[in-house]
Amino acid sequence: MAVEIRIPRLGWSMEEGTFAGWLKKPGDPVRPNEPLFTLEGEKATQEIESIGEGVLHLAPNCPQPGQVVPVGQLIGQLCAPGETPAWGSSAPTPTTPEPPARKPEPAPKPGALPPLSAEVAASPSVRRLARQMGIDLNQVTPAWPGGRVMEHDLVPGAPVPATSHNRLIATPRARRIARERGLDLMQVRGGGPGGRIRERDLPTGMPAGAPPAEIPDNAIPVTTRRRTIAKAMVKSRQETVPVTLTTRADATALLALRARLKRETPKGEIAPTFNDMLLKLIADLLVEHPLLGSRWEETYIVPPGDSIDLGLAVDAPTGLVVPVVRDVRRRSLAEIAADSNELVEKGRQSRLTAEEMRGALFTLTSLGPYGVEFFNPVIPWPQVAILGMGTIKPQPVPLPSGQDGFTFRKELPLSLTFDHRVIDGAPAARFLRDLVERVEVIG
Amino acid sequence: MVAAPDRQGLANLYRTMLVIRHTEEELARCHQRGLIHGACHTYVGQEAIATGVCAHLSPADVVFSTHRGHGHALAKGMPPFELIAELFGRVSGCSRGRGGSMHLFSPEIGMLGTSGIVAPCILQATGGGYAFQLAQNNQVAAAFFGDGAVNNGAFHEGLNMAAIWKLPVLFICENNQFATEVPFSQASGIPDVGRRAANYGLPGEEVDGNDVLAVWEAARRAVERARSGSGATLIECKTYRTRAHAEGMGDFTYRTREDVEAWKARCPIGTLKSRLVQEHGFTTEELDGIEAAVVSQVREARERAEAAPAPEPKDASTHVYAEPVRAVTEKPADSNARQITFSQATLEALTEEMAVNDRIFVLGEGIGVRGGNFRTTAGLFDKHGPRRLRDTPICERGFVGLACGAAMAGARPVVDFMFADFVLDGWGEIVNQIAKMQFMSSGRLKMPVLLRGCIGIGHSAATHHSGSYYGMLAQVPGLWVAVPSTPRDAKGLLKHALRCDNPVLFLEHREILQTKGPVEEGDLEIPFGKARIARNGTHATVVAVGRMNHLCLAAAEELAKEGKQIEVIDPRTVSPLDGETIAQSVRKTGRLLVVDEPAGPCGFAAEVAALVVDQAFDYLDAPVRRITGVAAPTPYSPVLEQTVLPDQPRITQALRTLVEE
Repeated sequence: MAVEIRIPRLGWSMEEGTFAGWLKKPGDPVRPNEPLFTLEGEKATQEIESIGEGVLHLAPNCPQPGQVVPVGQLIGQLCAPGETPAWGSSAPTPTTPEPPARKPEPAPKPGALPPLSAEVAASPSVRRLARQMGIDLNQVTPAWPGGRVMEHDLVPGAPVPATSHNRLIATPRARRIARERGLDLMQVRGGGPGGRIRERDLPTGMPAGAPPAEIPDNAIPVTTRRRTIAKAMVKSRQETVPVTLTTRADATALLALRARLKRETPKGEIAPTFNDMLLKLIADLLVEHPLLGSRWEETYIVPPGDSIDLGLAVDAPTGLVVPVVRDVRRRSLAEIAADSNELVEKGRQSRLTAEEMRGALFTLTSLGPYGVEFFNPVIPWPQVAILGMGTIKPQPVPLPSGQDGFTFRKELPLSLTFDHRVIDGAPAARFLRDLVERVEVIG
Repeated sequence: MVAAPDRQGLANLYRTMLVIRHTEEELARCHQRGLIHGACHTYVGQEAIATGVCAHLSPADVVFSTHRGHGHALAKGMPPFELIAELFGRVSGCSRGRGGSMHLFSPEIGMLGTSGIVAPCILQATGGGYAFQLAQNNQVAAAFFGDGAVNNGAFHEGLNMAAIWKLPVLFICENNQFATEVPFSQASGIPDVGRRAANYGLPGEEVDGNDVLAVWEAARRAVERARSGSGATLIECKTYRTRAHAEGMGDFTYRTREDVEAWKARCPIGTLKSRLVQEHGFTTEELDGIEAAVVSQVREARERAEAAPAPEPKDASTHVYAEPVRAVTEKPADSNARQITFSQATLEALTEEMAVNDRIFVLGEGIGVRGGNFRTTAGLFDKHGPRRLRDTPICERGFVGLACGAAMAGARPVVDFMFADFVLDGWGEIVNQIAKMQFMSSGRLKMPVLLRGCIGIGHSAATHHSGSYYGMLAQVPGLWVAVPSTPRDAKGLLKHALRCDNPVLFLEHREILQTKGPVEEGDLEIPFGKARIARNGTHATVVAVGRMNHLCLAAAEELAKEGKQIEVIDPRTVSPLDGETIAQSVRKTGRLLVVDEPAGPCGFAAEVAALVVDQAFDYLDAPVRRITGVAAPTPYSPVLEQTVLPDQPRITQALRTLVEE
């Protein structure tokens, strides 16, 4: 009966070896224990002895010297004289034993190295929450620079602060109870070591598991959006020193431009709004007044980069959202208009992504449609300034010199709120003055 | 007058040797085909020994063997299919695919196991003999081992114990002249093994291991001696393995082709065949017929094994412990029960269990007439005599290995170490053998081995009488570890240890042996893995075992005066550990301190801390704190000793800080 010759395993973990060559020729009679072929394993090259007896026949796909072969591969058979091997009598051309060739370098596997992914660090519980909230963690900047994304960094549909040096220190228990009761730990002063917030530091002082206060029937549930807005507002209040300057600009040129653009814009396209025009002017001005578009980082200030990205406050049915119009300075007014129109629509339909609300340098907000003239907008921390537009209406102005009396012209009320930690009054006023000048000559 | 087997007996010897030879050669081919996933040590050339010895054994007699154990398993009656399937890693293998070449188990036929470690089989066979002597059932135990085992302490300890207690054991040394690749001439001062028996007061024989009839005859006399109560025999069978140490290994770096060829010419099968024809009236055709039948039997077995299914991944960790056969619940404690000491409580448990279970026997130094260094067996020798209260030579590895074999053969050994520091001398037997047997045998062997000893620092016992080691022991799958702190727990847990089927390390803190507490009379069993809440509290949880639990209770008392209620938990068993009770407490209190006497790294306190972080993270209101012993060997001087040991003021202070932070 024919005896199979296969590549043996030399050592425990060997899966393949390098076939070095036959020590017998096809047709040679082989006796048990005679060296049959040479195999290079993990540790050494070894002469493999025959277990069986018979005439050597090489398998049709028998390896060439130097070839890497898997353990178990059939390389030949020992047959009784006159017996035909399993693959028939057509034996392959015998291979002259040669010195073992160099082991071929394994070809690089296509795509073997996955691109290095700078994966965001986050605890399993935060990852789970992010999944549930439909948030891509890669889009979230941890509040603790270089740190892990924490639960409070997961802010659906709200401006996400780029960085902060305020790390919230609270025990897991305090975090859990705050979560269950809807408490904002940023509001809590920790009494533990290093300001750590513990259960006993939480406002109600109620032990965990105590029944919550009774909720009136007509209570309005606080939505996540609302809670997010509240957090952002409180953050601004806690972090910034806001000062508001107000002035009015002659809106004649602005109105004329708006009327002209409305006329000239082809049907189906979006005519630029006052917002768009103001965004464009602000973008140009921030180049001259970089401080107004900077970001405060405690030990340094980050000025605007190449792309001037501006926030535009939108009153959506579910609450305030602030989408960001990108690269306002380098793009045309028509492009800005198309962009902002789309972002506003998305905002109203709650379809904005976190990315679309991240990274503004400066924000424009408007209460004009409601007849408001001046107000105190809240600075979207960590930005350092925000401009509020009021309603355009006729104001009495003195007649040109030499004439007594008043005339009326339409004016745009502007409220600039800035963070006095970063910007002093005069530079802010200069920015506002320059803006008024540009509004008045627009066109 | 030399006896010889009858005609049928001769044919059987021939057939068994052929079964071994053809199975091994089939396995060698299968190894080359890649069907064998790990090592494969063949028995080719040595077939006469297993065959000649096992011819005298019944299925009730037991065999313990080595990494080269295929031949012993087959000679003991294992079908080739079960062996081949095992090496293929199939669920139909004799060890259900858990063992491979070196771990063959078939308790059903008395094949109690082979081992990848050299020499434990000597001690296990000694233990098997001990169990049979205790049961007075006339069975014998045989150890097969190579020349590599005879320069190992287990050989000395095992032969000595078998000799002094006249145990029914066969020690079969297969001197194939190489311990893997080290020649025996370089490993031993004398070339022969058999004559070493004289040093122990045992009969020793030196026979030609390639002559099956010589082996058969020597074994016949040895089995007769064993069954007649005359004790053990050492038989050295001189032989040679004619294949490499393991399949796939080169063979001619340490021996020559000529040597191998010379020994092949002395093939035990060929030799027997000629003698059967020349001296016993067999025909060549008759013998070839036997061989042809064997060849087809082996081929069929290999084909079936190739078709056999692999084990289910879900079973990868079943049978680490014995399945509980009955539910155990703890009775509510009776605080008005009589007060007895910790020592009295464990003695009561052992006394009661030994009275009702005659499979229990105790091994140790001074536990016989003397009644134990710590009065652990006081009064028992008078009741049960020396076989059940066995004073041992000082050879911890030896009697732990003996306990292993005795449990495998049906007894219930109690090893009394006196000091748990001595456990370390038996470490290999505990970790590699006792702990793994139930798993490796797929639950077919039970391992009711109780290993007990004193632990703990105090009274200047110094470094070799102060260790605790339960952290280390609890890392070993297959062991349970109990560290009781009260007399009641000690009695209840010891009773459970003596009734369950798992190996148990029962560690008693020496400094609390004389503490008193209420213990119910009569039956009291406490299951493992159920913590006891020693004191209720709300401000913080403290977890500790043994003596440290006493200190924690005292510290909690102090804190109570300051208005802080500390919950004190005693897990009672370090393995299994009742994580749920601990986590539940921390969910309530939000704070955890773990106090542990041994050094901290990778210890019990670290384990408790980790499980609380896993299971109660969102309830922690402060970092988990640990107090552990200083990581140093225990010093002698009281000043130094006190320094390395956690004390009550430190625990009290740590709790004060913890409840405030």
